[in-house]
Amino acid sequence: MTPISAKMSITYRFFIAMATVLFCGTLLLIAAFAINEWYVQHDNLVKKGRGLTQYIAKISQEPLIMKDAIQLDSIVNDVKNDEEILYTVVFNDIGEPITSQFASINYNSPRIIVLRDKLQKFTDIPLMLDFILENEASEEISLPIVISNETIGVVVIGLSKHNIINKIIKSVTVIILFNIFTSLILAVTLFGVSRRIVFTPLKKLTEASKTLARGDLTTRVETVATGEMQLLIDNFNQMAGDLQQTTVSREYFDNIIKSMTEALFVLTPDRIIRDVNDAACHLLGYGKNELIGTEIGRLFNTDVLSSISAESIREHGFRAETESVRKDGTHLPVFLSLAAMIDKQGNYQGIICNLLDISDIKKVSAQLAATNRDLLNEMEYRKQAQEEALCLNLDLEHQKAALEASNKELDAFAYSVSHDLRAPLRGVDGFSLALSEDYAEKLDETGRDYIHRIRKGCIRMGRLIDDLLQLSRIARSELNRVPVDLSRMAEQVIATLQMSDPGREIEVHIDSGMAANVDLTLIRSVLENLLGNAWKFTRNTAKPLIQFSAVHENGGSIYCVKDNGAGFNMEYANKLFTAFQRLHRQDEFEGTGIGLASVQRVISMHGGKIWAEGEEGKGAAFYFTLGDSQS
Amino acid sequence: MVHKISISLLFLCGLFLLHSRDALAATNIGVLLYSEEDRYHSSFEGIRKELAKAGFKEPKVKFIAGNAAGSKAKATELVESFKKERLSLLITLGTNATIIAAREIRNVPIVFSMVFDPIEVRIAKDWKSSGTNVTGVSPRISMSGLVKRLSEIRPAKRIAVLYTPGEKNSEVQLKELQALQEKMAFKVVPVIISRPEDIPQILPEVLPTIDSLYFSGSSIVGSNIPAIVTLAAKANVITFTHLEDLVQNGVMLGVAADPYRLGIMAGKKAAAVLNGVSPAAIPIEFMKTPQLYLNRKTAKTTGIKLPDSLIRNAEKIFE
Repeated sequence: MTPISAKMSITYRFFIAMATVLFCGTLLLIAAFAINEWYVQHDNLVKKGRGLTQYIAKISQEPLIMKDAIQLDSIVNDVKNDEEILYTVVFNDIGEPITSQFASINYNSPRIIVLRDKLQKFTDIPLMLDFILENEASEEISLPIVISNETIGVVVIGLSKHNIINKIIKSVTVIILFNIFTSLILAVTLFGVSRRIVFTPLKKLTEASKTLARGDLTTRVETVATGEMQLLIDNFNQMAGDLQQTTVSREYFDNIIKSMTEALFVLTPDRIIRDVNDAACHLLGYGKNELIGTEIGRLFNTDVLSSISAESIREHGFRAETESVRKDGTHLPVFLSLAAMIDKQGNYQGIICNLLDISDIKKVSAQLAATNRDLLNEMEYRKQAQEEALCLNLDLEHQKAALEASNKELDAFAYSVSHDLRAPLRGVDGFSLALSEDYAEKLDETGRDYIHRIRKGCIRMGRLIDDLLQLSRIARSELNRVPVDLSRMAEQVIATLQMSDPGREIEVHIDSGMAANVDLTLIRSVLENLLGNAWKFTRNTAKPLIQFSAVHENGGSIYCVKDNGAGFNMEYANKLFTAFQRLHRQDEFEGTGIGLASVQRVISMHGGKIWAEGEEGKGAAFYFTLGDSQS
Repeated sequence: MVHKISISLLFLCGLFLLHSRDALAATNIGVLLYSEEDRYHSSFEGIRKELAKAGFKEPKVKFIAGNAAGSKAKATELVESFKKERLSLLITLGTNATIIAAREIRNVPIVFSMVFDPIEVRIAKDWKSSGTNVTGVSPRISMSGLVKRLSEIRPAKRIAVLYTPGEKNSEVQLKELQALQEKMAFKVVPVIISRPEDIPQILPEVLPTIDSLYFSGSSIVGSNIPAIVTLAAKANVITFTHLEDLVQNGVMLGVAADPYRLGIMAGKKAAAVLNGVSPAAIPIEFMKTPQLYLNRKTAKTTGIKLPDSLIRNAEKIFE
């Protein structure tokens, strides 16, 4: 690779180009400026000259008429302060100069000073003017002096153009200096920036590509750049990495071939084995030398290759499942794939043949097929079971609907019956009361006892009817869940019980902070029943204790109303929540047997459960949930 | 009655005292010099001496002097101030001073000295009578006589005249020389000197083209004699003038009226005016026989040998 000389480097070329552009730009600018400035300054000079000639012509009129040469000398002499004026001469009407030499010629002008040695040989003003015009870049402006349309003389002014050139040179110098200054600054800045973002990374890339070209695939460019340069660096590193991964050395290639578990044959274009790997020898049981030189078709028991052309292999490759014959004569199911080897010029170099032993695959495939069949049968069976389950579900749904309808009818019946029974009961109760009040003295002891029993019976039946009505109302109620402070509600219930039985001293423990989303009215009936029962059944306990608490499990709460009262036999626990079922006699503890059934109904409506634990003489505990569990 | 006389006497004494006071008051004489030329001071000395001789001296006479330092504006200012003074007479020295005074003051007699050509500059209509409140003396000489004297050293072919436009005396002198060009076969080269800077700028251009250099009565020329003479001497150019003080300061040759004697002449006229004679009745005079003045030193540095004819006739030779 030809090394890059300093003059060929991109940095050098870049700055040469930049310098050339700046130089050409400066030249163009100078040329444009100079041309424009020349014309502008020349115009200004001519305008000045014309203005001056007009003024001098005007003020020279009278002295010219009066032939006052001294006054004319004085006029032209006063113009000498301007160095651009080379001469100012007033001529008479016949072209003779009126003003004198030393008044007319501006010996103060630097341009005249340059010419003065040569001017000294002249004494004639016109000859002097001609000499000046010939030897000095100048502009002569003349104007006739006219009075009443009569030309009485001419004023001639010669102006030097040298100042224009000087001004242009000065301006050009400033432009050049400014350009050089700004160019230097720009160049330094551009150099610094370019170096950082372009040339240094480019140099690194160049060095890295040289190293890569020499075969060192581990080379990378570590430089950090920006924009496209960084992209280039990243792409280079990526390419080097890919190359490193994909490019193989001869040894690496040989290792690959050797390590392959699939049989690999390298064939000539006419399908003669040129090289094989170890896996091929192992697969077929031949030695390497036995295989090399053999026509590949002989290794198969079918004419699998006979119909395949070289062009077909080249274009599409070839894949087929076939059987090869091992040296020991056994047949081996294999998967054959062929691919053409084509060089860069497109020439057919050979064929790569790959044999994959598929005997295990075949076995597995057969097993899979059998398993598949079993699975299909199983699926069919499950489908049938699912259909049967569906039918059962439908039956259950029907039964549930029928049951619900029946419950509703029963509730309605209970409500209706209770309601209808109340009227005759009131009659019986009323008349029995009237008898006991009005005819008590007419009855004997036995009669009064009978009336007392009748009244007791009525009262009890009334309670029964009330409880039944309550139960039916509960069944007919719609649940309206609201947040309820259960602790506070329990305290209120206990307070009410205490008010009705002020003489009782009972220790009550109620957990604070118990709350739930429940129907306010219904849950109150639950607590009134449970706490009321606890209150009642601890009547005979020496140190009665009632507890209302909650434990939190599985995201929900289990509430518990517990007492140390009469308790119950667990054998009859399943009857506790059945309507009208009582575990104590009326004379032991009064009650209708509807309370707990109502409680259970309410708990069920909330989606919860209720159960009880107890021991005779030790107390009872009623546990319930309110349908807020996440378990 | 005695009482009446006493009062009358007292009244008369008072009148007398008042008159005496007026009589004893000084005669105010204004003096205006245009610039610091020696000739102006010499001329004024002559005037002063002659006035003193005529009895017009201090304290009887009070001189109120002013010097315009070569500025017309200053001269005008001084003239305005003179107007406020109760002058009996105004003496002016120099053409420009006289022109300004004559233009501004018409009710006070003016006696001038050192005005080259009062008719040309229109101060007076005639030498015999100005026709106005002005009279005086002139340093006028014959230019042709001056050129002849010059020719005794070296015939003049090209004579440069240093003059200042606006200073009428120098303009007049230029014109007189120009009038002699054809007759005396020489060429006049006018050279304007309007500021001192013109001398080093223009003279080096002029000198190589001439053989003689005339110094007019320009105040700017007069105040830069040494510089001009030095340059001229290097160029072998003969310098000449009509003013005696310029020869004293370096000009090689001069034919001039003695300013002091001119002053005497002017003083006589001034005395006559103070004695009541109208200036218009007093003719303007000039010296009919000017003197020859030479500067030997300048001749030597110029490389010129002064002819004996000139040396013999010289009134004064400055070394």
